[in-house]
Amino acid sequence: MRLKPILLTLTTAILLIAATAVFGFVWLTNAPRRTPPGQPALSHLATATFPAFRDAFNALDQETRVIVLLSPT
Amino acid sequence: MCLRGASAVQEILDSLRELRVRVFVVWEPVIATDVAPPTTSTLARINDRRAVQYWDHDRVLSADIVRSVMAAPSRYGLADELYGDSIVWDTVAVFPRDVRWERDFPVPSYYGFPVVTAAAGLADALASSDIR
Repeated sequence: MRLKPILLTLTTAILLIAATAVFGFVWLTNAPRRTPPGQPALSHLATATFPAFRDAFNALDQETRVIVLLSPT
Repeated sequence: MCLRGASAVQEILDSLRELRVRVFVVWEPVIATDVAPPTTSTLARINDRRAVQYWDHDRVLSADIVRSVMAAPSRYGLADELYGDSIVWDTVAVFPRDVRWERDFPVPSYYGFPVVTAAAGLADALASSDIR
């Protein structure tokens, strides 16, 4: 029978994919998150901190400002 | 695409070293793999000291932009219509001096998306802002 080797290969492949996904998730959620030198630490924007974000924008009204919205992956 | 856009922004900042500009980089989860804030290597894509980086887990900035645009679409002159569930991402907007953010999101002097293809427009907008 050739079915057994095929099932074994399939199971191995599924396990490998699952392990890679788990490793990727663990790495993504635990990896360091340091901003480059000279920049403040990564800030968290939320409903509660949104007014402060707007204030920071307005505080620099004598400079040109750029807002970039990006997805991290 | 987004990460290439981030690198494109950094290249423009590199070319405008003397420009007085502040860059608010807002990272937000949009696709399935955006399970966590950007890693150190992702944050390093924009390494300019004039940049400040944020993680917007709940996409509050995007929601505020959508709310503002839907309240007064003609004010922003957008070609594309926004809906309540729209997500503003991979987008860059430029605001000249003296523009203030009051109740609604301010009207940018330039905006574009995706960022990687809007890079030329961004560079022009920043260069012209320098000679105002």
